[in-house]
Amino acid sequence: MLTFVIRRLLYSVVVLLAASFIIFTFVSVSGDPVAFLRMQPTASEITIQRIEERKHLNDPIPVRYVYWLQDMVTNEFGTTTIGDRPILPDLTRVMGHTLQLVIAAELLAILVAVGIGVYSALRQYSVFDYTATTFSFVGLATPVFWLALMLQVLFVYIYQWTGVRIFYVANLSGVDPGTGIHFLLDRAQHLALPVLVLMIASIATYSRYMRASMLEVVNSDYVRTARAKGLPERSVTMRHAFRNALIPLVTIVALNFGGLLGGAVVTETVFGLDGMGLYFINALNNGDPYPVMAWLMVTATLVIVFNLVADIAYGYLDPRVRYD
Amino acid sequence: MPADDQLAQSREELHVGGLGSSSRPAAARAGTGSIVLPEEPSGAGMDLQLSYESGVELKARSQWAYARMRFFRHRLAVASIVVLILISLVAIFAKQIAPYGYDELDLNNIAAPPTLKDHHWFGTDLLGRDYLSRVIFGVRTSLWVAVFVAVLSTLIGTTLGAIAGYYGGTVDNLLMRFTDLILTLPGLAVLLTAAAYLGSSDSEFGPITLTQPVKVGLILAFLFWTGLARIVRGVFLSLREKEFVEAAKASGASDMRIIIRHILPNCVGPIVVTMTLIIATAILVEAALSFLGFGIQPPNPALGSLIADGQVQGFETWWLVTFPGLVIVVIALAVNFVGDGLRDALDPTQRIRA
Amino acid sequence: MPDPVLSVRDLTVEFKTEDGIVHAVTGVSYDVFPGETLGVVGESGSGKSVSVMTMLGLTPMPPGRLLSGEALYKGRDLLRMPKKELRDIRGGQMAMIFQDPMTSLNPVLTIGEQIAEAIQVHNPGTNDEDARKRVVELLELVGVPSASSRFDQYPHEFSGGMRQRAMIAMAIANDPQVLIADEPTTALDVTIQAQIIEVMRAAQQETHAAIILITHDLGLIAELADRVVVMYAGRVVELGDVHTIFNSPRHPYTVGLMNSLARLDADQEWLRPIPGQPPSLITPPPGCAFHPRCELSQGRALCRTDVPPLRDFGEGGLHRSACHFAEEVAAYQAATTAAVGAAHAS
Repeated sequence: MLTFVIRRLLYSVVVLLAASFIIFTFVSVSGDPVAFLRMQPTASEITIQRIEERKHLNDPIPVRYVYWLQDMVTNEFGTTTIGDRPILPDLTRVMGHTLQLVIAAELLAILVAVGIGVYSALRQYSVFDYTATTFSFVGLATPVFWLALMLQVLFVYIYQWTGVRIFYVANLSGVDPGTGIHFLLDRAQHLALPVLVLMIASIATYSRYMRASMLEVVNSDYVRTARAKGLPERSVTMRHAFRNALIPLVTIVALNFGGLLGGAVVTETVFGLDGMGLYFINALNNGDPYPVMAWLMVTATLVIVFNLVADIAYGYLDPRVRYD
Repeated sequence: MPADDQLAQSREELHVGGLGSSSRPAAARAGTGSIVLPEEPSGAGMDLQLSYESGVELKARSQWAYARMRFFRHRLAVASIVVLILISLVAIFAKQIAPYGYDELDLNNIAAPPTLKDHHWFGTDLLGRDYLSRVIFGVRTSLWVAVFVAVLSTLIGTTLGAIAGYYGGTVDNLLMRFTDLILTLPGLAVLLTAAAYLGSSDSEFGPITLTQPVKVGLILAFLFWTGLARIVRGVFLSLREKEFVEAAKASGASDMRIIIRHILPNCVGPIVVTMTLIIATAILVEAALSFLGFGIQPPNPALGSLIADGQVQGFETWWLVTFPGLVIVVIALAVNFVGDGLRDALDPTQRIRA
Repeated sequence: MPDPVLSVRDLTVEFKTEDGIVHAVTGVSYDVFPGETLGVVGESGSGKSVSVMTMLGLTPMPPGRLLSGEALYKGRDLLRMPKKELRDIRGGQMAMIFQDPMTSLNPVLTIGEQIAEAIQVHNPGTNDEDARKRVVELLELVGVPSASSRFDQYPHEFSGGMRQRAMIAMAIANDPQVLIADEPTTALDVTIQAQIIEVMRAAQQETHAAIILITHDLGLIAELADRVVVMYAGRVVELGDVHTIFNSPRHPYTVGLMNSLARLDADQEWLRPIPGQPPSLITPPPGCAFHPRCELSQGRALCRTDVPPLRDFGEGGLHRSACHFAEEVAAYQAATTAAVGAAHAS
């Protein structure tokens, strides 16, 4: 197991390096970091020159790449072009917020989807099943940003009609969130709608796969054997069917992670949350490639780590695949 | 006694007959044990005949006819196709059908909620632009881009997948590593980056002008071909070792011929299903990109930017945000239903019913 | 004759499918006596598995439907028992082993856990240690080496033959009175088959259980069975002790089966399969289901119109055949076996 993890980590480092090179080349070739400045009449020639020197902008690309890599590793992920702000503190702050959102959404989505999927499979073709399937289809056809907007509109109207703020439609926290439990409640109220939005697409996907997997397992030979042993139906379902049906879901969850991050980008933009998504969009809009590249590297690392965790979980659930 | 004669006859028959006679259905053998079909036609006559005549191929129809039959059993898929055809017609004849132009201002009806008056079914915005018309034009662009993306990524994905799957070895390895790399980053982020740096305006490459929607389409296709390539590669890998490929090689067929004429037809099912999925995903992703300001940008109409415009104009004019989105949902739903129906029709071994 | 431990009467089961109603089992009746091995023979689709699974309550009841019949075990009807009672019997006094041991064992639980489960469900209050001891005992009985370390292994770490041994261990764990084996050797290599036959013999000796051996492998029947039930298209067509069935069958289908065997002691030029295909169970042929493929029938009207009843032959209901012209079968058999050029060993 340990050798597997180490091998995977080494392989991941190679992949990350390759990705970093591609990212850097692409971004540097397509944009001039100081183009924005050049267009400003107030920016002085000296400032621009200094930036060019600092960022080694006049050197050939491979050289610049090495400088950038060095900067990333040693100097807090490098600095922004204008203002020379270190990127790492900002990035860690927004990453924390986004992780709150994403982890909450993913955990809740898995819980709900597994419940829906299993129940749909056990009561196949029932009203519940058809409703759940319809919900899945609609959920997969709904653009995340639009759903976010719709919920915003809805809750704004609820506030206007009733004067009660159930959930907030913008920002991470109120003006004065307080501490301890008050802070948590306030945060929860603000995050409720974004989490809901992110959950829906995930639930739509996971519940369908869970249902399919459960159906397959319930009709398998070993479940037949479990029944033939005279086990009570509950035991058959939970101990034999469910445990096996859960296994493919791990892969699906891992594959969906990238999509979840994308959804987070959009959701944070709509709800104005100070997270990685909004950070990324702003960086793109500012035309400053360094935060963009740092962001891409961090995200790539997150995806790799998440996939590694998923593989380990898979090995735990399915003894046939254990990495000895 | 007739029975004895029959037995004697059978004895002779069996001595003489070789392997062939014993394996053919009894009816084919002269004399002994021949089936006397019922004279009187009964209600189940046809069925009985078929079940007697063991070994007769009951499948008198081609594979495609069966697929068509199965598809039309899906009422939802059929309804969805009708809906899609209608929407496509509206999109194609947008200029004739839309009551107003994309940027045309109707100053009598500013910020009007949806109403039947003056054909403002989807209302108007703060500038007086009719949203029904804007949505129609937006649908046209979205559909166009989505189909473009699907076709392009299918072409690229199938080609690369076929080559990798057929030749295997280093080519295959390269492809797999490359797709892995692309998949390491979250899709939307990659697209946003690409769109931000590449796609904000028309580009000219000598005589070719790539309009902005085309560039967005190219960017999307660049990400979407990977899924298709994997599927095609999978099919090729599994079929490569089968006997009919060996037989084709032995009869002197070139690799190209084998790929195209023998193996590729087996991929048609999964390819078609994946294509519909790509269309649906492309619509949603393009809308998201346009919404964020990185996809299709004004003056080109796009559903995503319509929603963005609507958002800017505040919560009072809720219809500006609602209808373009609803249209997206309807289209994506319809495409998904069709894809589901196609999957059931083309791959009956998958017993997962939606 | 002692009383039968299991008595099936007139069992009829049908399935509702997209293509129509499948008449899987029709009017099946047979007895199983204590300690004997009853072979149930037939082609795929003959209903041999469905009849037995229905008795144990393992046939899903939609789409399946029990139209009639009773299955008396120790005087109680299994088909009409409350579910909880049936569950007590199932896996306890009546146990079953299945065809493919790879897919029939749960891949995420150890072999030991799965066998222990069988023990603990039917003997509540058995603690884990005692269960473990018993499991190791059973594994040793069925010939699994290093039983105590094998306890903690997963099915994929066992070979095919060993998995089947483990399944047998699981089935005999609670000293069943009736052990049902559904194609126990079909998925195994020929050399392993011989071993499994030995294991089954040992299991029977240990438990004195009656075995219902369902198979299409006539060699297996010849080795293990005391009596044989021959099924075709969901009905019993012949029933008798193994020697009678092999040497003097009274049904053309059985004759066909025997003639299709490859034999070492005969000079055969060609193998002689039964011509044609098994009939559709949705629209079976009218009258006798076998008549389209029957060489004895020769198109006689009775075969086409009336379903032949199971009739007694000789000594007190121990040999029964469902053929209108069963009396002619002896001559028919003599003719065909002469044609094949074999002399049946008695």
